[in-house]
Amino acid sequence: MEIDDPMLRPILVANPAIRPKVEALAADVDLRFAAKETADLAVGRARGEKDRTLVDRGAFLIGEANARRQPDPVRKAEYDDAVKRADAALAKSQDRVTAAHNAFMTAREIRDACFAYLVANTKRENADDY
Amino acid sequence: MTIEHYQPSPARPIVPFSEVDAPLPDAMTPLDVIAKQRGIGRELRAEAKRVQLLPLALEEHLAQARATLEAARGETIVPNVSADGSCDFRNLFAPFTGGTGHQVYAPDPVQLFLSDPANFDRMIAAAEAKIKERHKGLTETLSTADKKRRAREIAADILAAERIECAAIWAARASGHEVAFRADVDCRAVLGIEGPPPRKRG
Repeated sequence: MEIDDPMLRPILVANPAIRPKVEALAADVDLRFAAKETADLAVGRARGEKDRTLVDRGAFLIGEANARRQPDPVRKAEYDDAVKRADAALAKSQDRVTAAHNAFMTAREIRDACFAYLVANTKRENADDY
Repeated sequence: MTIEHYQPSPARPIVPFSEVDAPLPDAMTPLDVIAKQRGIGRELRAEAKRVQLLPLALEEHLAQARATLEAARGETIVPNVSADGSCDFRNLFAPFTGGTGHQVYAPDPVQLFLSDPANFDRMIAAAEAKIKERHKGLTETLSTADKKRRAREIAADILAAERIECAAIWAARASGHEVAFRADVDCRAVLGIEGPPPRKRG
């Protein structure tokens, strides 16, 4: 249920004091959704970066093998280090994406529960007329 | 149409929710209040679980055992025996549902045993002795009514703690902190309103 839902609208008009809280809950979900999307993009980038460093390292090793020589230890260490760094960055961004997903799910759950509570427990005067 | 353009129905006005004010302690920051109230809430929920798992009071336990045996004596339990003589124990308590084979109804041995008053009295006495033995050394027991009363009291305390926690979260957010509500928080505490308990989220 969204904040401009026809079922919620009259309740917010009748309860002006809780409207800021309801709007804040809805805004919180939007904010956390944006954070989740950003984290998803970041994890995609980190995964791409790791793939690229792996490809670079593989190309270097294949090139050295084709030239029938042992890989240069200094350059190999650089490639290994780059792969390690990319791996750590990916793990970090995966942690962030998990936290962002959880925060978004929680915010959405609370918003939906509050909206549903308001709709389910709102009483009207002259209810017998209907 | 936005909320600003909405015209409430004069014939059927909405009764506004009663608001509940949860004052924050003056000497503490909102973040400290949140941490403190979350701790109180954890303790209260642990207490609720402890009360729920407390053994029943002796008198009620005995009465329950007697009622269970009385009910077993009165039931017409018959096993579902198929044409080849094998007994389908899965259908023992639902002999009239399902089953495609020829059914022969025979009296249940438990029912036969309990239908003799002497056997029944011996069974009751044995059950009571066993229950009294188990109750020896128990320091705390509660009747079902007392458990319900305690559960209601603890639930009210949890809600009061959550109201202060949520008020502190709103205050912390207003001062620029990014604090999230707990996933299982009560809607009434978040919105600061009075009302019937919300349905459990699942």
